[in-house]
Amino acid sequence: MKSVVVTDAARGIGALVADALARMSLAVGSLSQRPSESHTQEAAAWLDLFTELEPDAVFVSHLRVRGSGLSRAAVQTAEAAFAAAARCPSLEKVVVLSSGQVYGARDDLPTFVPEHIAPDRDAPTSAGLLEVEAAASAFARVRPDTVVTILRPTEVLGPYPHGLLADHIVSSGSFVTASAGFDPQVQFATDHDVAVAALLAIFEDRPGVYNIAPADALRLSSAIRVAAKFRVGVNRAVTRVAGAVLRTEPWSGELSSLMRFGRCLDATRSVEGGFAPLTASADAIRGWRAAQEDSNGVGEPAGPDGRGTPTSGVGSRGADGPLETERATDDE
Amino acid sequence: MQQENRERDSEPQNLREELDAVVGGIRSVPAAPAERPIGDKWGRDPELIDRLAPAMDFLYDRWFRTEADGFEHIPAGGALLVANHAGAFPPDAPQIQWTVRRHLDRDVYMMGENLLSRTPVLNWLFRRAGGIEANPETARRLLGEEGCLALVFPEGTKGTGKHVSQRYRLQRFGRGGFVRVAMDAGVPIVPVAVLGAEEAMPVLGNLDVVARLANLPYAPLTSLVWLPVKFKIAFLRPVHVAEGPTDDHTVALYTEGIRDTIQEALLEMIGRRRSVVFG
Repeated sequence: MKSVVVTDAARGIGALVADALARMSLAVGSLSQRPSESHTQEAAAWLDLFTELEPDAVFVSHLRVRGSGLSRAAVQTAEAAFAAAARCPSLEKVVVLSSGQVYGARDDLPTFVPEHIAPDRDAPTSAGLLEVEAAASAFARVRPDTVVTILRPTEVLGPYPHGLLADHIVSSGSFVTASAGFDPQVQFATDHDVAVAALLAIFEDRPGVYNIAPADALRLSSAIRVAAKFRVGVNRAVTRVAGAVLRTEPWSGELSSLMRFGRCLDATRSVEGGFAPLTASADAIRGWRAAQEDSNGVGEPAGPDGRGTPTSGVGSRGADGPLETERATDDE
Repeated sequence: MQQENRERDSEPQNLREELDAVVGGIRSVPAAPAERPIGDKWGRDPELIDRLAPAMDFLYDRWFRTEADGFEHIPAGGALLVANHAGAFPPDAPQIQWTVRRHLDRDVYMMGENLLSRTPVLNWLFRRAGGIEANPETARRLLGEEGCLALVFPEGTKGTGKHVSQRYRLQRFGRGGFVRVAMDAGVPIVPVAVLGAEEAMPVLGNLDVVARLANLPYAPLTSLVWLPVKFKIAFLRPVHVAEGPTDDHTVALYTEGIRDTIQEALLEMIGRRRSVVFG
């Protein structure tokens, strides 16, 4: 393997994976996305990148879901990347970083949701992700010579949280609002474990859909306690008021469901595939907390938005590292 | 050949270790101290249960003076305990859980209706006491893969909401979902007959309007506390449903058969009972 395209090498798991690939002396290509760029221009830019780099693999890492769902621009970027990838003869692997949010949060889900459970097409946050997963499946049909892997991580803690609940806990100050009268089971993985899973999928043939989640779970109240924060039980109807008082974001519909029913993913298939996170949920929270304390000083609150400073990024790569066009603006 | 296989098997592990090291070198997460796991992955709260142990012991030994037999029918591995269900706020589940804990030192999870998981506070209590939403996938994993015991009440709210005049007349056992769960999980069903719950908190009437307004299955007129009646629990001979065919007819036969077994055991226990309070 010589080169890999990462659709967002500037942030989050994508940045971690891109840095790791660069350290392993692989060329990493990425593309800046500008909101003003038209879909056609973006598709042409992806095609140019794939033609120039002739990558062996592509890691679709830019799918970050907020309360209102995945942005249309993010879906279009994925579709443009798949279209360019389909015309790249050197390509062998496609790895998509989706999310466990595709299952929604409902009281009729199993306690640990396996991959064969149908995604929740009605959940607003899952619609965009499912569009991208469908595009990946369509790509697999067009290019049966490639291996397509879809990773659905549970809530991921790190400098860039991945998942609504992780985002809520990380972005809240000392107080975390939670649904009064409910204490659901939740799970957390580290960005480290998810990045390793993505790299495994890039280097080895692991076709199909895999949940990325630890084997354990814990109650939301315990998770908040381990994160050294205070749980404030509120009624759904007053989250906006409570959020204003406690300086937390109002809940989206999906977050509200998560607060009541939780969501844990079944790790059986990922264990078989060698993807299973090595870090337990509570240890993932402890590790995140320790990193926060390291970067902010023990006992002090996190940064302005409650997040620590990322310690990884495109700037840390060596001079002979990746072929890279930096992301200019944030489209989400 | 074996050497080759070993090398092939060890490859992914080596790669994983290598990748772990590379990613760890980029973003060194401070090593988290390996503390003991928090709680139970299914949501049970062992610490809360330990704290409530004196109260549970009091209810078990002094209030209900529970007697139980048939523990030899509970297998060492996973099993689905199927019991009759009664009482406006039913005390049968905690009594069954406590008797198994005391005699076999095993925990019993409880599969409940979605109503419990949708209702604030009840959801909190239900989960911490070992309650799990009844779901075939969850049951397969809990019983079949992890070898746990789970308790289910097929009568559901039809059992707990029935009038005291209907006591010990078992309601319909649904469509046999519990039989399919046991079949899928490959575990036996242990029928359980519980005597006492019907009188511990009898339903004397139902406030239909209140139930409709509160979106509850029933709003009972009942005693404010559990009455100190004598509890008897019998674990009956296990039914190995996983060994036979799994068609609808067979499921219906098993369902009715298990219902009849519990009903007959209850009638026999009532026949031997001389007093509701003293047993």
